[in-house]
Amino acid sequence: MKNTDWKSEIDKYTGLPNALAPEFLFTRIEQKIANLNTSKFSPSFSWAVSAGLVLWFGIQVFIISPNMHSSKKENWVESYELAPNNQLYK
Amino acid sequence: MTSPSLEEIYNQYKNRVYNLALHYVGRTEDAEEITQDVFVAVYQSMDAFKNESSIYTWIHKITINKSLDFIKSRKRKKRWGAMTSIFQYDAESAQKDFIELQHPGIEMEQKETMNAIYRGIQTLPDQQKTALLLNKIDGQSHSEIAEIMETSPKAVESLIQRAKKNLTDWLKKNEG
Repeated sequence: MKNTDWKSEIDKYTGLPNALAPEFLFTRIEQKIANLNTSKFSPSFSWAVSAGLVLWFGIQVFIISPNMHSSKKENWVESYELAPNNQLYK
Repeated sequence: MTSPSLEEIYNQYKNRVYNLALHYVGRTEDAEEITQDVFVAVYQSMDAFKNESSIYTWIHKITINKSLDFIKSRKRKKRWGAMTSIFQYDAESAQKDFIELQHPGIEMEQKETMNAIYRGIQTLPDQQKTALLLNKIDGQSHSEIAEIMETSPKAVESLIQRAKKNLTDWLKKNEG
């Protein structure tokens, strides 16, 4: 493709006849619209619910769970806040 | 005056929408997808249509936005694909990945030249590409394009001139 007359080639390109939309397309559009009307939740609502669930799960894992299990009290005497020096507990 | 139904609007604009989308995205199945999305969007906003000229402008705006969004998402997917297969990726294979124009009006012997022009158009900035396609492919006047692109006819004229120059320069540079 050397020394091509690009101006005339561009004219040929722009002179291409219009491509016609396929016959079945309107049926597909009607189906898409029907699906939109029957779907209960909008995509943005679904995203919001999903993001909320992820956030809740994150809070559970990183904030609530470590606090539940990482008690600094080292034995059952301290955890019940009993007097550690009492001989009865030894 | 009663508002036109979706089917009436579809029958009036389907070929223009499809043809314009095809010149943006190249593949017929992608142009079909965009055409569907455009008319679903039209259906969802039908109450906002006031008169004939606003429908015309609006449909073209939706078509342009959907087509440009589609191209952006295709580029994102391609970049992601390149990242995941980083060891096989090189510029030559990316060039080979370029979409070809599946236009039914292109004859076999024209295919190479027409695809080169299509690829050249894809390298233009969005504004220049849109002005060129609306003018040369959709046959719209500068003032109609100005209304769609929300700019002045003078600016449209300048965009088209720059698009033609950049396209010709790209084709000469990439010839052979």
